[in-house]
Amino acid sequence: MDGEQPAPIRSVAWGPAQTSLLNGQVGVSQPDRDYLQILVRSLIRAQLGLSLVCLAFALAVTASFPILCAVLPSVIGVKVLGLPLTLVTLGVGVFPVILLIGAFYVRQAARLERQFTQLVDRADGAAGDD
Amino acid sequence: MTEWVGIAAITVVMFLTIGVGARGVRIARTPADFMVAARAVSSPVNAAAISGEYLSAASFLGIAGLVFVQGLGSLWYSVGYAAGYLVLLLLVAAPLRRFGAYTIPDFAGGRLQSARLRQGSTVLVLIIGWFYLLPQMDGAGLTLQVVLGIPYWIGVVLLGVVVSGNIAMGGMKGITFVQAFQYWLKICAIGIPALALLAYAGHGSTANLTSSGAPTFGHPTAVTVPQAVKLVVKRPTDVVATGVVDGHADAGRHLVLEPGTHSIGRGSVLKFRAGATVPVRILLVQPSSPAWNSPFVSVGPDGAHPLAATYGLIIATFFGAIGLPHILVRFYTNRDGTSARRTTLIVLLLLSFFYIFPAILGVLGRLRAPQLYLTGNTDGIVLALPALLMPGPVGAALAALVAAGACAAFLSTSSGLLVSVAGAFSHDLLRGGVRSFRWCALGAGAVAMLAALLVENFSASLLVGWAFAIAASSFCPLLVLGIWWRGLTWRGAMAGVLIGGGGCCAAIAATMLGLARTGWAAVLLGYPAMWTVPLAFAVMILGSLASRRDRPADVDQIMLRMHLPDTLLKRTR
Amino acid sequence: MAGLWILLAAVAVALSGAVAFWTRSSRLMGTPRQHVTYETLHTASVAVSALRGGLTAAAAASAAPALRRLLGTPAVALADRKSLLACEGSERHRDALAKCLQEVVDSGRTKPLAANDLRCGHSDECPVHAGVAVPITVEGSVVGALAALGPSASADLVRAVGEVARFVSTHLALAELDAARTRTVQAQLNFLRAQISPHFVYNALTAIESFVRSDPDRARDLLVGFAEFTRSTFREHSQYVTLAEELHLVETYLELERARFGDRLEVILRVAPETLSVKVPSLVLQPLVENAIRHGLERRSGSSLLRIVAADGGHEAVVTVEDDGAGADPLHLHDIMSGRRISDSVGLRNVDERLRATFGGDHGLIIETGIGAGTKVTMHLPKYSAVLSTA
Repeated sequence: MDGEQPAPIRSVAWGPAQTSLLNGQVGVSQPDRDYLQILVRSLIRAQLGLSLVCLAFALAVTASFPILCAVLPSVIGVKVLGLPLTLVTLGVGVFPVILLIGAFYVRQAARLERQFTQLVDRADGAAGDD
Repeated sequence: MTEWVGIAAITVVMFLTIGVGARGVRIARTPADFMVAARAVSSPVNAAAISGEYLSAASFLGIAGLVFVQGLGSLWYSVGYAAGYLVLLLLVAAPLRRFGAYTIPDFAGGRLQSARLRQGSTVLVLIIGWFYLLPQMDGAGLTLQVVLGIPYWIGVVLLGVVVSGNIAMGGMKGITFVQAFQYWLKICAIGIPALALLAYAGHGSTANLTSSGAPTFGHPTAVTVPQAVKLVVKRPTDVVATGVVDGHADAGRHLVLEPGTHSIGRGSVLKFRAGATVPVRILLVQPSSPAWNSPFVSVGPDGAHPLAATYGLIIATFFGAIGLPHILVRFYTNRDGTSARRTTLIVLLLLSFFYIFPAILGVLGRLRAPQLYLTGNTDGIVLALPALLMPGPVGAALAALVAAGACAAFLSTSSGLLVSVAGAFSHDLLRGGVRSFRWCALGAGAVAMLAALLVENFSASLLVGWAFAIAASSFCPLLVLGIWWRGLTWRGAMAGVLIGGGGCCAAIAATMLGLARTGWAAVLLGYPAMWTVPLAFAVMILGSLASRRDRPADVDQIMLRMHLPDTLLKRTR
Repeated sequence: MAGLWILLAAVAVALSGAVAFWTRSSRLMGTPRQHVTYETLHTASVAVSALRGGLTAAAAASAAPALRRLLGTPAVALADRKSLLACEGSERHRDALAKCLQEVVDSGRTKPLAANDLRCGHSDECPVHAGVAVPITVEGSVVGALAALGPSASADLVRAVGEVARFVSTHLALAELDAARTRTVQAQLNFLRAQISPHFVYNALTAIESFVRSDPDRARDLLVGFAEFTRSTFREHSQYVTLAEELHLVETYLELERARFGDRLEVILRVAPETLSVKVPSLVLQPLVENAIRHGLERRSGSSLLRIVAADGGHEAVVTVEDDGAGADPLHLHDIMSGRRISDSVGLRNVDERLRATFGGDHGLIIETGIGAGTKVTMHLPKYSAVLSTA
């Protein structure tokens, strides 16, 4: 800018308010996926099964503690290294358990997906160049 | 002196938060930088961001306070907050990411093809968000009160103005790196003091932990009462009092406090012998609550049905994390379903690590600083503990660190929540742009601020627990059924959200108004998730079965999209 | 005590129920025996998919091994109406088989093959003594023939070859239908791509050409980059990509443009990582960058600054491409964008149309420009769009 001309000004030349004369619709038909949709149902069931197993296990391990103490009040008084059992269980103990369950789940879910991918590849023939 | 360290720490955190927020983008000028700039956020960073936003004042201050006051059963809060992410990992993480929704209303509207359900969900996002904002404001008021000695309402207003102003000006808008930084700040701010205090004061008798009775002083203790309090004494207690006790001015007189309630004047000093039973401030008294070392929580003056109340809390926290409105937004930053799963697992690790420390602090308080029962305030235990256990500059520094962490806790969580609430308001209800977002941020902040002034007496954890309960009984069934069941319809979902979420809100309102204080009514209204979660699931399933015709036509397509492994998804896209 | 037992029983029941459900649903993924079936079906489908493009030499060559496995014979051969296309497992019988298959194609009838038809003069070590050749017909006319050879022309071999030939026939017929449909889709897709690419191809090749003499090594590197770029542009991929993928494409593209403009082109890229997962129609960003460079640099001397910003706007990503170049007359540009004036600059208009078609009319480009004032193009890309969630 050498200061002699007025600074150029921008203005909105085009915006959503305008419409073009030819509003070309873009539509490419998607590949047929009926087949995958049916296949994926069994994957969904398997994954749900896995999730429910892990969930049931997590609940059985963690949430059973209060009912155990309610049924056997003497459990409350148990000491571990001089600390109350409740503290050891709820303060520290449950965390490794839920972490392990989570890690197990992530591995198993990935395994199921791998199996499914192989199954589909086989059936599909798309990547079946073995 | 101590105050100044605290003020400095809090100021630094505020500036870091706002300052780092301005640098949330990656800038590239050279070709080599381009690769880095356009790379997705890695799972560990994203996980830290999720944890940073998730760990609120309730986690930072509330849990330790509840453990101290109510007992070890309160640890269910920390277990539940962490386990909520396990449930989230198991049931929704990967499919929800693959669906591609940015918010829960996106999911509701897109999965069930219903604009009405979308709007209904938006309203619920506002309710949960606001409910969750309250304890953050509450925590801010309290922290600043303890650290700076200013009145509660100033802290609330200060946080409200800073956060909503910052968001309205465009800062801190869900910036991943800021939230990730906040996690590490919080873990340092609670971990270092907890470990230092544990090493310094952790050894010795553990009698106060294992006895189910009232705590006792471990050694002769002089307690200065900063404000007039009423104390409840269970056993006759010898004390040397200087100040005003029960209306009599005393100067170093030896007296015996008989069982009952005693009022102590402002500034009085009470000297207790070692082994004396600790009197408890009337605000902190837990009438007929279960033993301190039992794994139960209780509600109401009669503490009835502690087992049921505990399960109410467990259900709310385990299933509530799924439905929190500000968490899904973070999952969008994950590249695909698999990385969403990995991120959630790391979140679980980071949270597990964090939640060990509030327990340590709460337990240390009972063990070594029982005088806090006379002078403390549930959510203020963590803030007061360092200076009590470790007099001198180190203690002051640790106290400042804790204050900074608490500050980070309510700043990050309330920012995330306020962005979600304001976004839901302006984007989904008003269909507005940037300008309306700003006004919504200011408005939502103001509403939360006003409401926070009304809830001073509720513990942060209790309020957060209620936010979880509402989420668990509305969005949790919506997401879980929407992801796993083809048969869900918008009518069924709407009915479930209305009845489950509405029922839960009504129960909480009744509790807050004090409508039911005893027996089953108190438990069922105070921990409503116990019945509202199953109810919401049942209503959604039955309603969907009854309105089978409303199943969206492209449900198979959507199920495919949510569950197809990422490698295949990329190929078919 | 009773309560404890009830509790334990309940936990056990819940756990075993869940485990049972899981094992049952895991089985949905297939037992080993089922996998054998899949294997066979897979072999069949490999053969079929190889023949998807019709009965050509290449297709026959890749289908032949699968057909041999499917039939379980030592050798198979495939021919079309004119010649032998593939002969798998029995090279030494090639000429004899070509002749036999030609006979079958001409006659249209199944022909058993005896040892002397094969001109097998080495009866001891040769595993192939006999076989059968069958015609492959599509809609009544013979298009080829299939032969299988084995130790003997047993009835089950004849039967199996007949079935496989019928199977192949059916799929060749389907392939014909498929090809017709693919041609239609491909025509649409090519039409769309053709609207975008010629300018770039021309410019890039010009840039590379300028280095061919002065710096052949650089020219070769750039050519590799160009190949990579065009491959990712023309790849048989999806309609939608993530913004991250789009940015990578732009990066490759900028590399080529740098070759052309050297230090005259300065680029600043600012990306909020929260926007990288946003789904966009493919090739929406690169044309904007291309346009900015063309108008910012090509038509004037001196250097130019190009600014590409992807900012996080909560529910949407705001992507801007800004240059400090010559700019344009807003009215003139308006006419081009609305289609009232024909221009060679179809890139912007094409992007605008596709954005509107994907995200709705209010998500088109926003273009701010003025003569001498540079140009700023803004896109508001919703993070979630119902259209993309089912795509």
